[in-house]
Amino acid sequence: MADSKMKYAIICIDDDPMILQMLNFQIRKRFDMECALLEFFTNPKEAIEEIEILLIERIDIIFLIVDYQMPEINGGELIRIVKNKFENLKFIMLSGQANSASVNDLLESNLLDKFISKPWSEDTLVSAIKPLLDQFNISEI
Amino acid sequence: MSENVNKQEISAYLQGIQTCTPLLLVLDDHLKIHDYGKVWKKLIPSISFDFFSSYFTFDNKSEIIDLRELLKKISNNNQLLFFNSLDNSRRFKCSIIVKHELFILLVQPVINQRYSLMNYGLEIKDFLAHEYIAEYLFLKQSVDKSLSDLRKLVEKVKTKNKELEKVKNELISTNTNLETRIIEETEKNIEFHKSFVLNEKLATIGELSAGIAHDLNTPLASINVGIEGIKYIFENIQKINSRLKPHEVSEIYQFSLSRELDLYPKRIKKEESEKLSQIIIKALKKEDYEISKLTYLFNQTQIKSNENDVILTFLNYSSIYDSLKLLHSYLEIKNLLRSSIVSIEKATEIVSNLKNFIRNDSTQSKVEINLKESIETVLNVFRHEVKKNVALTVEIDSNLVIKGHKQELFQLWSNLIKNAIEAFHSHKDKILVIKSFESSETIIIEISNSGDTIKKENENRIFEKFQSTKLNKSGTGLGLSIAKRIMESHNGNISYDNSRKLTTFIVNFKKTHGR
Repeated sequence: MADSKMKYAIICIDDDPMILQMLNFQIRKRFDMECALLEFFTNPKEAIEEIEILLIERIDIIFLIVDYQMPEINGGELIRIVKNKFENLKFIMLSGQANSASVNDLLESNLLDKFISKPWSEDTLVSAIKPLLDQFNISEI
Repeated sequence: MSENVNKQEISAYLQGIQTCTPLLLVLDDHLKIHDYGKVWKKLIPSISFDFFSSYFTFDNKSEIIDLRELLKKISNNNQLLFFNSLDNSRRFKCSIIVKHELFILLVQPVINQRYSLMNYGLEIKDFLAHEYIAEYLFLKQSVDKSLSDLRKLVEKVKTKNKELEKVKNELISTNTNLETRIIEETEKNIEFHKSFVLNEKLATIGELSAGIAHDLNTPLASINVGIEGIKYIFENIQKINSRLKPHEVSEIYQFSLSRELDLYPKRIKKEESEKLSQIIIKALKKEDYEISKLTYLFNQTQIKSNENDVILTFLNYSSIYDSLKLLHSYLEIKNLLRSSIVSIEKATEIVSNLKNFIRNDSTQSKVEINLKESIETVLNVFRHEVKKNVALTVEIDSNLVIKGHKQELFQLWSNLIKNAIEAFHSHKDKILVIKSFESSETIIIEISNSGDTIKKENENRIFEKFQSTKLNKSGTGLGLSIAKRIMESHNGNISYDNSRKLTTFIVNFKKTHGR
């Protein structure tokens, strides 16, 4: 089947569409995403629903990129909720508050794989996600 | 016999007179006392027979050669005789009747201001025998006393009046000074207040600066990504173009003008991808193309399975991959331009909001202000602060308009929203509700938060100056006092309700009717 090549997924969650658009452009520019879905959500609840669907469809989620500051639920809370259900998911956090105690707390609790402070450079993003993508043989262009 | 009759007659006569005239004096031809009224005993306890001529002095004494002649003359002419006691403390008058060789002196005390009855050693009751006289004397005495009291009083009042006039003049001059002082102080106060308002504003901006910088960073980063991205795509397009025919390049460019890509794509459903694959397989009639790659490229350019003509056009190009990549590049350039423009607008808006917020134009006259727009401008400045897990509900009627100072209202909302946010600090549920209500008389804006409630001991002073009760003491303590002053200058008032589930500040604008 044509669709069978889509084995993996990356999920980005941020309430700012501009951030999602940047992530979309930068990841596609630097990595060959023919085998991986790149999905975007401004609403964390929809993202959680999508995670469940992807797991049913046996699509591996390589990692999730989440923003810390969001209106209804913050990134930290979202990570705790998701990890509670799906322990093995990997998270990268985007935040403007590099030294925030809550971010440190997440890192120390091993709930966070990477932390990228806003604004980021393309290279910062690439070097943060490359090791994770390498594991799934997703190569740089 | 006749002498006896005479004596009896005289005695009865004198007795009658005596009841009317208690100071009756009867003298015989030798001017010796023949009879006298009982009251005399009181005045002169040891009355001797010659007491009349030895006790009194008479007016115009020099004229008197013979007292007897004088008495006769006065009696004949119906005149009055005036005489004084030797010590001059008593004055008397009398008319004189000559009868049976007796001088009957109907004496009365002369009572004026200087000679009161008391001076005579007499009392009203001495005259009770004759009520008219008693009454007259009493009244006269009272009237005299009252008159003299009145005169004294009038004098006193006159003096007091003069003093009052003086005090009044002093007061008027003090008052004029005070008025000037008040005007001066008020002017000083206004200046003072203005500088405080500005300080408060600057403090707010200081507190917001990190957030504002962050707010600016995102659009700037987005613009940067856009420009770098367009540059990168242009470099790639050169390679792709060389593998396509010129008319194909131009056709694809034309086609790209009518299409748009989503800013970030949605996941394409499995069925849709399968349909697309089927169409491609059917059209190409060969399997040497990587169908899944083509499907991916069609998906990426967001060409749908129902767009048969478009799909066929692209499948007929000399290089299908390159044609789709070119289309995608064009669409992506459009997207990057679009997002860059949106980001530039966003950055401009942040800066202009800040500019509006800082600008000090309180001297301008009042203008019509849409309350919803006014509040939303401020919410935009605070966007970054409000975003931090705050559940914000804004229900403001978009038709509410008041006359006011734009800047002052920004300041008002800013102070109230800032307070609400600061009340949250470590609270888990962060609810901020801004609602409007309207009646025929008033427009009400309620700003409610789920943060700290106002402590009982602070209730009475929260609208006073320098009353920061916040834990971190970050404020200048002027926020609510400024809010109160702003409401006063907008024909309204501000209050709060601590009894509701959410601590609520109530801003009340009185509607100005007519005009």
